[in-house]
This record gives sequence, C-alpha cells and structure tokens, in this order.
Amino acid sequence: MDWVTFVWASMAATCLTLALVQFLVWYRDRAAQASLWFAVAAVAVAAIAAGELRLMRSATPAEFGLVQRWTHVPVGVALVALAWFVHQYLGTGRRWLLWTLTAGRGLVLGLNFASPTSVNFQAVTELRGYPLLGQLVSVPVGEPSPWAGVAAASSVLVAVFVTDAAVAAWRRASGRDRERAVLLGAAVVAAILLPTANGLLVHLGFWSAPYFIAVAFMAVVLAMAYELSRDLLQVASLARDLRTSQARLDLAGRAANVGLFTWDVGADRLWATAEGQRLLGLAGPGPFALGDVLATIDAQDRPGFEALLGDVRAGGGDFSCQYRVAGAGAGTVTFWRGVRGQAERGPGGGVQLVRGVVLDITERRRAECEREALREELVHAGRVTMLGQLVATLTHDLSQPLGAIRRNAEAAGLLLGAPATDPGELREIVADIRRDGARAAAVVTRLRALMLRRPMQAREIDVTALVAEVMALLQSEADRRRVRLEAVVPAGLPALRGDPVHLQQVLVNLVMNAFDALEGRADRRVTVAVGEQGGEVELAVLDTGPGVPDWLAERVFEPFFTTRPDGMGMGLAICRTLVDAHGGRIRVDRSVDGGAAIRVVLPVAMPS
Amino acid sequence: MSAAPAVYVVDDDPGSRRATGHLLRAAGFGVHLHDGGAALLAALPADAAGCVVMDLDMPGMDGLAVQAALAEAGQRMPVVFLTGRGDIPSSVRAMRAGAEDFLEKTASPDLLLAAVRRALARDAEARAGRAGQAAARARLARLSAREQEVLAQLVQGVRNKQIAGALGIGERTVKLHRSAITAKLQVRSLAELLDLVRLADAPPPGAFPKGN
Repeated sequence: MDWVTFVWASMAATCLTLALVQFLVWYRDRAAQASLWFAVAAVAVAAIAAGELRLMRSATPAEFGLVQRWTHVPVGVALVALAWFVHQYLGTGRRWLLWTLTAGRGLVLGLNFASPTSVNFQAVTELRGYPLLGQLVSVPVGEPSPWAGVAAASSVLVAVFVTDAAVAAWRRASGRDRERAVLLGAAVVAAILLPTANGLLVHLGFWSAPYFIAVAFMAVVLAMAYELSRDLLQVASLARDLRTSQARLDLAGRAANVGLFTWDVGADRLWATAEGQRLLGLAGPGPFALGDVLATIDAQDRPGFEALLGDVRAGGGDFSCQYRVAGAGAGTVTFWRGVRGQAERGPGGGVQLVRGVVLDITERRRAECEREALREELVHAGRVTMLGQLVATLTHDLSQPLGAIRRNAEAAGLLLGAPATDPGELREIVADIRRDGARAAAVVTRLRALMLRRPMQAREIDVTALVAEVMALLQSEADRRRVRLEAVVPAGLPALRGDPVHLQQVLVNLVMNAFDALEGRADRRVTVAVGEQGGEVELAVLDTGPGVPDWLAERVFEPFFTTRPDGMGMGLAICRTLVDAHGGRIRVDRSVDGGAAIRVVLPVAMPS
Repeated sequence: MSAAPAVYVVDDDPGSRRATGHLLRAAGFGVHLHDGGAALLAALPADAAGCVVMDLDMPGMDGLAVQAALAEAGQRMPVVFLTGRGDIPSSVRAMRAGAEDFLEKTASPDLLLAAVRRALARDAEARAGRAGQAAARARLARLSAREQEVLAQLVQGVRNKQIAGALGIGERTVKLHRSAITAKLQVRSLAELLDLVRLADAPPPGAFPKGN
C-alpha cells in the first residue's frame, strides 16, 4: 500500500471512530446535541477523505469532474454540521447567521448540481501529475465556474459565524472555557479558510495542487478529540471528588442526625445515605423502594403521608412533613421523623426525581408537646380564675331557677293536699318546673365547658351563637355591676374555625376587663360589636371607660401587666396566646366614646 | 276586696316571679305579681295592706331603692327580700332599712311562707296599733285648750296645788278641769288616762319597727 492511500484512509478511519464515539454519547443522552452534530461532521469528513483519494487517483478529467461533483455533498454537510456543532458546543452564535449559512450551503449544492461539471469547474480539461509522498497524484486544470466565488463566499460565511460565536463565548466565559472557545474557534476557522483559499487558487488556475480539505478538517477533529480527552479526565476527577464529598456528606449527616435521600419516581428506586437509611428505617443492603419507608410509618400518619406524596407527584415543588414511626407498642417512646424535600421535573414535565433530607425530630416534638401542655394549663388556669371572679353571678344564675323549682314543687304539693285543685294551675306549675330545670342545666353546661381542661379542638364556629353564649354568661354580671351590655351582630356572618371555648374565654375576659374599667364611672356601657371584612371577622369589645393610653397599647398584652392591685396580669396575655393560636390578631385602640376598644380579628374558615 | 291577705311579689325574673306566685297562691294568699318597682308603685292603692316579697337584685331600680320609694309614698307594708347572691353588704342595708326578712332564693319554701306570715301579722298589728292611736288622738282633741294644759301637767305627775300655781288658777278650778277631762275621755283612773296619752304620743307603729 502506498502512503497516500494509507494517510487518507487513516484519516477517514479516525474520523469514523470519533464519529461513532460521539454518536453513542448522543444516543445515551439525547440532550447532548453537540455530540450528534460532531458525529455528522466527522462522518462527512471521512466521506471527504474518501472523495479526495478518488480525485487524486482519477485517470480522466471526466472521472475527476464526476467525483468532485459528488464530493460537494459531504463538504456541504461537514461545513453546516460544524457550524451547528460550534453553536451547540459553545452555546453562542447568531441564529439568523446560522440559518443563512445553512441555506447558503444548500444554494451552493444546488448550483453544483446545476453546473455541467461542478460548482468549481465549467469543465476539467486535463489532469496533471503532482508529486505527493513519493507518488504522482492527479490534480485538475480546467475552465473555472462562474459560481466558484459563491462556493468560497459560503465557506467564508461559516468561518465568520464560527469566529463570532467563539468571540462571544470567549467574552462570556472565563479560564478553562475561554481556552476551549479559542482553540475550537481557531481550529474550525483555519480548517475552513485554508482549503477554501487553496481550492479557489486551484480553480482559478493560479496554482496546481490537491485539495487537502480532509487534512484541514482533521485539525478540527483532533482539536475536538483533545477536548474530549480533557472532558474524560475531568469526569474521572469529578467522580473522585464526588466520592470524597459523599463521604463528607455522610459524616456531616451523621453528626447532625440528618439523612439524605433521592427517590427516582419512575423506577421507584430509593437511595439514602447511611444515616438516611437508619432514619427512614431501611434495613439490609438494598436496593430500596418507597414502600419500604411507608411500611415504617405509623398508621395514623400514613394516609397523610401518602396524600402528600400524591400532591408532590402531581404538583412538584418543595414539600415538608412530619410523621411518627410505627411503634413497638403502647408505652414505648414515640419516634418522630421530619422530611423536607424538593421534587424535580423531567423533560416530559412530570416529576422524575424527589430529593430530600430526613431528620430525627423526636426531641423537638417532645419539647413542643411539653410547651403545649404548659400553655394549655396556663390557659385553663386563666379560665378558672376568670370564672372565680364570676362566682357571685353564677350563683345568682343558678339559684334563680333552683329556687323557682323549689317553690313551684312546694306549691304543687300544697295544691295536691287541698280539697279542690285546679288542674290547669298544676299543669302550669309543671311546665314552669321544666323550663327552670332546663335553664339551670344550661348554666351548668356552660360552666362545665369552661371549667374542663382539654386540648384545643378546632371546628367550625357560628359567630352569632358564640356571642350569644358570652352574653348569656355575662348578662347578670352586667346587671349586678349596673352596666349596659349590648351585642351588635350583623346577620349572615361567615363561620370561623377554632375552639369555641377558647374564643369564649377571650370574649368573656375582654368584657370583664371592660366592666372593671367602668368601675365608679357614671356612663357604664359595654358593646360587643362584630363585623366582617375581607375574609376576616372582627370581634370588638368597646367600653365607655377611661380608655388605654397609646403608650400602653402594646404593653397591656404582656404577661403580668396589670392595673389592678389584686390582678395577676395574665388575662390579656392569655387572650393574645389564644388569638395567635387561631391565626388572628388582637390590638387595642379607642372607641368612639373615648373608652377602650379591644379588637380581635380572626380569619374566616375555608369552605371545605 | 278578697278576704285573703294581699302579698305583692316584685321580681324581674319571670320564672322566679311565677314560682313565688304559685307558692303563695297555693298557701292561700291573694297574690299580685309585678316585674319591677315602678309597676308596683303604680299599682298600689294608698296605704295598701299586706306585705311585699321582693327580689333584691333587679336591673334599674333595685330592691333597696324600691323599699325607699315605698316609704316615700307612705306605704308601710313590711318587705321580705329575696336574693340570689346573698352578699352581706346589701343584706345589712336592707335589714337596717327595716326589711321584715331576708332570704336566699334557694331557701326552703317553708321559710318563705313563714316569713310572709310573720310580715302579714306585723302589718295587721301595726295597722291595729295605728287605728288605736288615731282613736286616742281623736279623744284627746275633744279637750279644751285649758284642759289640755292641765292634762300635760297631770301626765308629768304634778300635784293639783302646783298645777294651780303654774297656771295661775285656783285649786278648785284644777279639780273641775280634772273631772271634765275624765268625763270627756271616759277613763276611770289616772293609770288609764296615762296609757291613753302615751298611745297618742307614741311614734306611728309599723313603718320602722326596729330601726331605732
């Protein structure tokens, strides 16, 4: 075999090998479009090398012309594919220029096939021998085509595009990426301009030489190969870094009791760090699926967890939840886990991957529970203290119906002993006893609800009924203190969500405070006014007392703040705690009469 | 007018008022129900007889205020107070102001009936006393001015001779006046005469029997 054949065949083989590698890269990762374009360009260069070899071996001018005509196909493909490759690889370049050069090259191909011989020659008149690598190869002499300039201009347009894209990439990038832009840009521009100039000189008859297009393109292919090798090296070093950072992550996770996990939604494959496996209750070597975690969740929390998962899969985004670990049985410690994560969408738009952390929040939950119990105790103590202040009135409200029942029963006894008794009178007495019994029972029920100590229970609350209950409880206290107590409740109020006992406690407390503020004043009025605005309900307690000075408006809600010598100063602090727990606000300002106005604003219940 | 003694029940709480009414009616009293002091004062005849059973804690005019208004209007019926609170300061004031009795609302109905009977008895007694006094005063009013002067000295235990000296008249004239007094007042002895004068001069019974 001669050297020319060897060198050109080797170039073609190299190009095909690299094309195969890049094609496989694209095949595995469809997002790597640069690899596809490179593979196309490399195949085209291999075809050019084959074409050039045939040209150099041509025996007649006619044969040369025919081969040249067809070699324009891979040349065009190579130029356009390179431009697209540069565009994808560097992520720069003007799109309109790219489409222009693509169309331009199409035009050149059209002209090529429209010409008698090729876009380069009208006709190849003779072949000359040219010494290359110890052999004589054929080089053309002929009549230049009028379109030869168009072909050259189209190639120059590709070079312009690449130069522009490389400069843009160089400007934007830094360090290693700048180097890459320069290397690639220079190699591509040189690979285009040098054979173009050479070809133009040959076609115009200034010069006699083979084309060397494949040789020039080899520079690009090799530059790419060099880049590729660097990428491979980088991948290896990244893998090493990844292992190190994985080890660090594990260490940090263990130290902070944080576990990391990733869940491949499509394959239902769950990966977790060592700590993550421990916290998620994953035993054994794996691989794990989501079901393994679900099995460790306490039955009370599992439906909630599954509902959350459904939301995450449907909606993506961030999520967080807490759950109890299915326990060994009653009497053992309940372990709590907190999960916080993020769902990532795949190219198809669906959630593909869920990443997150899992924490042991048992201690935190226990502290929260204790705090909650203390708060509950305080709130209850506040309620009992408040009822203590109402003892005289509550006694009155109970003794009224009880006394009536005793007198009615005695009257009935007397009537039954009498000779002539009117049954109508007896019926009336019995009806009265029933009514008074119900009245006493209502007082006791109201009292018991307030006396009981129980955790907050949220449910829908009818504001009108709530205010009516408070009025029923406090009306005779108002009478005793000679205060005019009124409620202004508009019709059609939306429901609130919360614990009615707690909201009653707030209102009773506020009204009692208002009573205290009226002590010794001539005009004694308290109004409970309800209003609705923008998804919120305002419960205002207004009095005709001296009012709260502005500089005390915030302080009155602090614990132990009191103006009474016998006061504990917990009433309003508890009110604020309760209002906060209902997602509301409480504040003090002035009523129209110059007295105090305490306003409690609560969010309206969401219609379920 | 019915023969049954009248009891005026004043209570703002309808249940309580009706129950008290049922009880008193069943015990044979003539019951009048009122929901407040104003209604009672408007309904009472002048110098009404009977007694009042009244709630102490009423909105507007409370029991003590109604009691004062009754006295102002010349109504001298005894008042039995009922209270659902039983707080000491008001009960003390009520008793000071001459309440006949002071009962818890939950008190045994027997206690209430006993208190009402006592109050009615006292009213009857006071009324009888007031009638006797009026009669005594009418008898004394029949004496002439001179006879009244002589009587005033006599009641103080002054002798005839000294009375004659003090009034500047003869002892015989004093004796004549004395027999005229005895005849006009229809008394048989000095002791009887003294009783009559004491009855007429005593403060009117019934209104404030315990206050002094």
